[in-house]
Amino acid sequence: MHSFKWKAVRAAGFVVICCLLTGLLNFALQQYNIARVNVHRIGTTQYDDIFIGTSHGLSAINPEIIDQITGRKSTNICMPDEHLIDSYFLVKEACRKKKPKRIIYELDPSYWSTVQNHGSNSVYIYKEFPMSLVKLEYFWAKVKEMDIRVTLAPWFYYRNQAGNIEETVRMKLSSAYQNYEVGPLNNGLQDYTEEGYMYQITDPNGDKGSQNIVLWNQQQIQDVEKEYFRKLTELCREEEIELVVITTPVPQETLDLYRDVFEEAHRYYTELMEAYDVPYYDFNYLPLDDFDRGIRNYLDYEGHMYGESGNQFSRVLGTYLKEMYEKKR
Amino acid sequence: MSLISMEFLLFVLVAAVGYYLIPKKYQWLWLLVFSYIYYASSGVKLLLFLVYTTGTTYAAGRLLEKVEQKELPKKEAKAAKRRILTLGLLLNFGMLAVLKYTNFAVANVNAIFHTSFSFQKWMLPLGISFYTFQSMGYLLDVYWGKCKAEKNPLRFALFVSFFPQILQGPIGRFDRLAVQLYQEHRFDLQRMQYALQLILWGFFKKLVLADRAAVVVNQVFLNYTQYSGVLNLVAVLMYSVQLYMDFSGGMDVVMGVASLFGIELDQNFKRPYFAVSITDFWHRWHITLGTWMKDYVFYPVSLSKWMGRIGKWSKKVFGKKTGRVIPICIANLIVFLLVGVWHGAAWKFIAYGLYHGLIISVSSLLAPVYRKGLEIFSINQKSGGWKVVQILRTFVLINISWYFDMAVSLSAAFTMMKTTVTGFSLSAFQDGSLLTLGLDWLDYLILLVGCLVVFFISFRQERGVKIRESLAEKPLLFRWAVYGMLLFGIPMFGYVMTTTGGFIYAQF
Repeated sequence: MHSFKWKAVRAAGFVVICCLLTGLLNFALQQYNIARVNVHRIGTTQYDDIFIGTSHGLSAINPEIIDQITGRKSTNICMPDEHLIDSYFLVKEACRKKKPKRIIYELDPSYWSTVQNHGSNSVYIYKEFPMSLVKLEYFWAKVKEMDIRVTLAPWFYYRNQAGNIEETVRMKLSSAYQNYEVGPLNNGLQDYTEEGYMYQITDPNGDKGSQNIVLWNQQQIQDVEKEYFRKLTELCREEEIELVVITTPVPQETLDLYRDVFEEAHRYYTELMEAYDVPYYDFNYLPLDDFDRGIRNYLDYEGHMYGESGNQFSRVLGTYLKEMYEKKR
Repeated sequence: MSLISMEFLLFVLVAAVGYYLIPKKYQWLWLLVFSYIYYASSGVKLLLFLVYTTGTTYAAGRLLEKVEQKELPKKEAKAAKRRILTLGLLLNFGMLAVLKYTNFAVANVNAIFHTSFSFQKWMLPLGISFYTFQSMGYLLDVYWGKCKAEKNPLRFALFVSFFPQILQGPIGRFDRLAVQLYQEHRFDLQRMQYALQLILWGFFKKLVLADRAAVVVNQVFLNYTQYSGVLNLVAVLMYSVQLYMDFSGGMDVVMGVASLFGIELDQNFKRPYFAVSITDFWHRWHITLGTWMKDYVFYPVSLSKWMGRIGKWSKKVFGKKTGRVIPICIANLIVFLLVGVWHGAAWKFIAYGLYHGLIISVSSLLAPVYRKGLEIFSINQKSGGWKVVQILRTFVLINISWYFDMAVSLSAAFTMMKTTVTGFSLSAFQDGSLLTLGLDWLDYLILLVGCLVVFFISFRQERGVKIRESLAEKPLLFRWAVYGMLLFGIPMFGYVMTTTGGFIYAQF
């Protein structure tokens, strides 16, 4: 009974049980998130334009409004904690399935000088990728170096959700989850639209957060951000996709408080984009028509917009993109 | 390549599977290739430093042996060997000193002479302190004739670069490590099982306990002026948890990984917080550094001619008993000064080393007084109660040294010590101050339970129980439950830092 074979079978059995339990726990604890919807959307629907970028873009870019102005079809896959490495692979994945004509990268300068947190957000986009060479490349470029707990068993982040296991399981078995619906992502504070716009419901008494926000710092710019911006430009060139870069406007109060930092960032990115020959629209320094940049129209000092401001900004952005397109023609 | 990354897991898996599939005579070569891949993953340029140390040490070793074989007159041979040894030591310790201590020297010169020499931006190759010490240990062993010089440069390269240990030790000895590295190894399921247990145990200590304690440590030590005495004390106690769990946990992982390849590395820890004196502590803490210092610094210094002259002089001046101890005290001070310097280029580390050296030296000098005191108070040295007192006393002394080790500077260490005493108040336990340090009650509870588990296991080991062997005798379900608890407890209760939290000693 105690032969090598029997011991090996027992060990293999133990490994199988552990794998099953890990899968079960992941299923029961991990929450539904927008990466699931976005990755599915870019793989199943044809778009002219895809907006990539951060949570600022998520709350400021409403594709439906922009499409009404430009007459094109666009979608927004900006996500919280989406760094350039993630954006690059999202574009690659989009090209694998339904190649877009234009990529509009929403650039939040502070992301460039911040090391990406090794939190659950750092792999949630990767996890939603279907198995493909792009996913393998994504793994090799980013995930392989990450903490094994984050990649295989990120239960630490969901320990507060232990009481909601029943609800999570029910949601994952529901048709909404199976059909990648946006409904489950909505709550009393925000509405997520089919085309990837997060409409933040205005709260006149809401806490705007601290004015000590994460600021851009040229000395701390991460090599990985520069590297993946270069790769993104190369990819767009190879795939003959037009690339446009924008920065959404922060509240006037923030701009006034950190005028030097924002001006330096503006100079840096203007020069960088010129070097890459990529059009750059920094809306902190462009005329915004009647868009009101007062803090009351923002969720916080960092620059996340309330729904109506986002819609208003989208009109401005749509007009710029249309003019740009017409000039080119 | 972080030990906690997916990359490392896959790397070890491929290395181990291939190791047992290829012809056994090539196993060592396989290990060498993987060791170099591992090191290159931190930066290909860093390989240059590794190759430099390997090359110079190998050449020096071979030259020493050639001199031995030449049958030169004794005096001439001795002088030639000494020249080769000196050159080998200078080339390697010189490189280490330049890379690690130049900026420290520049800072001090600038401060003293009001100059403005600029700081260098040299990279510090990972693990350079460990592999330099390991290589120089080999060179000294060859010089003293304790071992023969390795003829095959590739085999020697493996001794210097063996991947599990290169970043944070243990510092291996050629006579014990090289034999195992070059041997052929058969797959042994039992050994694999033990190795995986050790790896899991190491990860438990590091990820559940050390990383959690680190939150409080970083918060208080980096903002020490903002916290009261009791919170300073809590932070230093947390540091004693963090450092032990981090370093010994890292060692468990390293030894477990080495064991997967059939290689048993030297023990680096033996339940150090059960030490009854500082000397005993250094026999249990970072053992391979301690024995390296003992063999290659302490003995050569204390048996040197000049130390003999000091011994004779001190016997004349202080009498036979005290005079005999003085050379040992001086040798100890030199050893611990070097231990301090080894830990880093800062005055606080030098203070850390000297503090330990002073306590050991003063203890040696006062040993007769101490013994007399025990007799006067009729204290039974073999009683359990007295042992507990000794353990607690040593633990307090060790914790004082952690102020030097972890504080941002030497003056910060003294300020924190002062605050601990003068600003001590237990109100922090009642007013919720503990919860402002980055952890919640659940975290403190996990820390407490985890430490109790480690204490219980250490206590059993101290009593001579072999944990893994005793676990192997338990029923299958019990064992599976233990493995399951560790395997699932680590991701469930482990503390995930928002940015990469590497092992402390992997920065040396």
